[in-house]
Parts: sequence; C-alpha cells; structure tokens
Amino acid sequence: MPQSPATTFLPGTVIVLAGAAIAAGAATYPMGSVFRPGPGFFPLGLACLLMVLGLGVLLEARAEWRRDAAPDAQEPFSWGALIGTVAAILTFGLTVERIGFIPATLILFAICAGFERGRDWRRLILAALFIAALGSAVFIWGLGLPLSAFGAS
Amino acid sequence: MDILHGFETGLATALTWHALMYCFIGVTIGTFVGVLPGIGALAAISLALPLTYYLDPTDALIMLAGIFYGAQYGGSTASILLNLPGTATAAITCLDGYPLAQQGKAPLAIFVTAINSFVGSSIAIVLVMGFAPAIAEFALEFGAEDYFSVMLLGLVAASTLTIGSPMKALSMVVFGLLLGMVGTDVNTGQFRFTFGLFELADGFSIVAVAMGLFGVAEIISNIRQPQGVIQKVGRIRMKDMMPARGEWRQIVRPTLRGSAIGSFVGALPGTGPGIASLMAYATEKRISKSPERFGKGALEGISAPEAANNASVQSAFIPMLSLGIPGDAIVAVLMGAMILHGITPGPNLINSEPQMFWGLIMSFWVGNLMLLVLNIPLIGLWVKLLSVPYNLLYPGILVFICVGVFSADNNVFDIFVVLGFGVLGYLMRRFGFPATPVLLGFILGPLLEENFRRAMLLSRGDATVFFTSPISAVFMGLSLLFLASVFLPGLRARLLRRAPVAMNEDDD
Repeated sequence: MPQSPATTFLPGTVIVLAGAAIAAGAATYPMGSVFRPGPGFFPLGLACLLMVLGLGVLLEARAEWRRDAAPDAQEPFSWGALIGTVAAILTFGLTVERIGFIPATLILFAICAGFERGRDWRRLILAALFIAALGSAVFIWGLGLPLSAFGAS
Repeated sequence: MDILHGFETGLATALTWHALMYCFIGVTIGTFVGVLPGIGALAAISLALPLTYYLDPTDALIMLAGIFYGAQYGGSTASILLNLPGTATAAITCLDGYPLAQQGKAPLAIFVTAINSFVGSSIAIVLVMGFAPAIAEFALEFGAEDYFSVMLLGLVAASTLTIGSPMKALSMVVFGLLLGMVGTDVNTGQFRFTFGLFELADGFSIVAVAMGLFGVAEIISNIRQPQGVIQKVGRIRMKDMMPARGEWRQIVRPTLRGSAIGSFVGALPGTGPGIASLMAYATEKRISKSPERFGKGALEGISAPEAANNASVQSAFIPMLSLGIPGDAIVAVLMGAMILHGITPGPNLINSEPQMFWGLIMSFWVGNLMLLVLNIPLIGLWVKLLSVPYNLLYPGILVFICVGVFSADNNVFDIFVVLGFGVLGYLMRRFGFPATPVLLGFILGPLLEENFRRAMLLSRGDATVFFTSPISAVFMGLSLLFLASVFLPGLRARLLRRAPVAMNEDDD
C-alpha cells in the first residue's frame, strides 16, 4: 500500500496542533512564579514540549517519505470494525440507564453481529443471553450497581 | 524489619482464607485472559479494579497482581497451539512452540513452559525479597528533586527502549503527562482542561483510560483478524507431558539464563516482559551450538523466553514497591490501584505497611504454586476455551468493559470516555504510536508535577537543583544518556542490534 502524503504527515501535524491547543488552554491559568509555580506552569511547559516532539515526528516522517522506504505491510484500515464498535458502545452507553442492562446488552450484541460478515444467530443469541445473565448476577445483584436489569434505573 | 520477620508477617497475611481466595480468583482470571488471544492482562486488571473498591487493599492488590503474573502463564498456551500469542509477551514462544505442536509434542511444550514460568518467577521473587527493602531504605533519603528525576528516568527509559520510533514514544509520554493534568489542581484548586464538565473535576478515570487504550483498541484491531487454526491435541495425558531425561538436561541452563535476563530487564524501569523474552531468545540462539534448530521446535527456544517473561513480571515489582516507579503499563495500573486505595507506593511502603508488602510477596509464592496446578493438570480446560470463536467473545468483553467503567464511578460519562480513548488507541496503533507511554505518563503526571513544584519551592526557584543534588544528578545523567542514544543514531543502532525482531510491545 503506497503511503499518501496525507497519511504520512497527518500524525505529526495532529500532535503539533494538539500541543498548540493545549498550550493556549494552559496559558489561561495562573502561571505563578519560578519560586512557586502555578497551575499553568507545568502544562504550558509540557504543551510546548509536545509541539517540539510533534515537529520531530514530522521530520522523521519526511525522512522516511523521501527515502521512499516501503511502508511496512499494514492490514487495511478496518472501518467496519471501528464503526461497529463505536456504534455498539455508544448505543450501550445511551440506553443502559433508560431501558435496563439486559436489553442494552442484547442490542450491543445485535449491533456487533450486524457488522460481522458470517454469523451464526443461534450461538450469538445464546452468548448474548449468557452474558446478560452473568452480568446481571455479578454487577446488579452481586455488587449492587445502580442499574436495573430491565427498565429505567 | 529483618527479612525473617517479614516472612512471618507475609505468610500470616497471605495464608488467611480471604487472601488465598482472592489470590486464586486473580490467577484464574489471569490464566483465562492469558489463554485467550485478543484480551490482555491490562484490560482484565482494569476491569477488576473497580470490583476491588470493596475489598481490603492487601487482598485487592494480591488479586490484581495475580491476574498480572497469571496471564504470563496462560499466554504461552495459545502460542503453542494456535501460533497466536495469548498475550503479546508470549509472541516469541510461537517461534518454537508451534513447530513443537505440529510435531505432536504440544503436551511436552505446555509442561515445559509451565515449569519454566515457575522457575523464572521463583528466582525473581527471591530477588524482590532481597532488593526491594534495600532499595527502599536507600530511597528514604530522596528529596523532591530526586523523585522528580527518578520518575523522569522511568518515563524516558520507557519511551526510548521501545522498538519503533522513539520520537513517537516520547511524544506519547508527554501527551500522557498532559492527560494526567486534567482535573482539579491539588495545590490551588484550579480546574484545568475540564471543559466545564463536572465529571472531569477529578480527572479522567484511570480505568477508562486504560481500558480504552488497551481493551477497546485491542478489540477493534482484532475483529477482522483471521482466526488461527487450532492444533489438534486430543486428550492431554500426563505421560506425554513429562520430558525425558535428555530433554530435562536440555532446558535447565536456558531456563536459568532466561530467569537471570528476565529478572534484570524487568527490574529496570520502563522495560517490560516483551523485551525480556526477546533478549532471552536472542541470547539462546547466539550461544547455541546448533542455532539452526531454532524456529523448528527447539526446547531452548521456548524455555528461555518463558522463564524470562515471568521473571521480569515479578521483578517489575522491585521499582514499584521500593521507589513508586512503575516499569510498564500494567504495573502502572497496579500502582494506580494502590493510590485509589489510599496507599502511596514508595520507599515508606515497607515500613508503614509491612503487612501489605510482605503479604503481597508471599502471595506470589502461593499464586505461582496455584498456577502450576492450573496449568499442568487442568490444562485441558483452557485448551477447550481456545475453540470459542472471537466473534462470540468480543461483544461480551465489550459489555464487561462498559459495565466495568460504569461501576468505577457509577457514571455513564465514563463509558463515553472509554469509547473516546478506544478510538484514539486504535488510531495510535495504526500509525505506530505506542500506548504504554501514554498510560505511564498519565499515572506519573500528577506525581511528577507535585515533586517538581515542591523541589522548586524548596530550592527557592533554582532549577539547577536537579543537577546539583547528587542523587538527582545521577538519574538526570542517565536520562540524558537515554535521550542521547535516540539522537545519536550510531549508539542506537548498536543497542537495537540486540533486539532485531520487530514486535508490538503494547499489550503485555
């Protein structure tokens, strides 16, 4: 897979920008003095260091790009896995307090299954029910978390 | 307190029924996650961490530590049978373990790795008992500037000794330190980087950060991986497991050498079991009279690295218990667990909490004996576990991760935090940024800042104190040496030649 310039330089750029943003945030806190450094002192220093290191990452990327070193064989970016997992966790977080732990668990399994290629519904349902029951027993009845198995908590 | 007295206190603690029970739970969970590829000890420890809030701190630590070293035993099983490491640290065991399984010698390989693990651990535990109290005694004289420097050394070592770009690792350390700044500043009460979110007033939850970067990220990158083909073993009988006399002779020395390398490497701050097993394997191959057998099922090729990774896991407790410096990500989470329980790891620990210190160490013996039983007579159970397909497994793990982070604070907010760090962790992995330094920085960040400010205050704003205090100067010098090794390529090449195989250090 040939590296495009965008993917080569993206990480370093993101780090530099993140450093700049954090520095801007840190600069709003009191700096204190060298005798008694304030809450802004340490983060500001670190953020500047982060920017410098980001530049270092960029330089390294440029050297690699110039050499046109064959980028190490990477597996393709798995958008499916990423989106599926994000959707599953997001839905679980949004629903667990509203409809209860067991329905939220079943939905999470369904979303994961939806993003898989081959699936065996019978075994998936069994696994989902097993996890839902085990989770309820351990977390809700065992540890007394403020969640209900069914319905809003 | 002398060591004999420590023994007694420790045994009295480790042999209570509840300590035994939590130790057993810990090593069983450890073996379980160790055997399963795609979920590491780190995720398991973070998951178990909220459950330990209700326990006595010593029991909690015994259990969490059990998960840590238990996983090192389990990790080799998948390497041997599936050619897929159960934990990243067992990756090197695939090289000779899988060929052994193909030759129908899987039971022998499993037995040998279990014994090696036990020997490696035992040697390292003895070293922990000898060295940790001595180092702690020495460290009692540390001032704030010395603490700052030794932590800095740990962070620098952790990021420069990784395989891969040190620039990326260093930037991740700094990023981790900044993550640690989020929340209320202890000295002034100022809210920092909370974005007006009340939930961030106490900073990010360590459980959410660790599980996101390691648990969720690991799952996302494993989902579409092809499943390994499990090597048929049938019923594993004791008779097949026992090595013949010649085979015993073959493994004795590699085991001892591996233990020595592992103990040494593990005790250095910043170097994990991955590097230890790699170095042990390379050493065996170099000194072997018949290096061509390596990779085709040489017993030395599994015994040295297995002894080394277990030894390094145990000796990693030396800097943690005596200095309060975690050597790798998992130890960092264990340290976070101690802090959550209101105990500050450091040189005072042995004197102020002797029952915890010695109890933990004695529990290592107990736990390793339990692991021997779990991994030799009961191995059949774990082998069955390997046949569960990943697409049934991972939604369950996701559910447990979500509920686990929820239980840390009874707050849904942390589920979204874990998601954010999961996505970040996956992207980092894709672009070759290591996650371990982020976690180390995150945990050490507040301590580093605290000691920095204290040192500045005590020295009246004189920053040269870090170089004029003799202890601090030594650590600073070492840090500079590590940094120089990054920027002077010749030196780095020489260091790296010892560890030529690229491998992922993240999930140990």
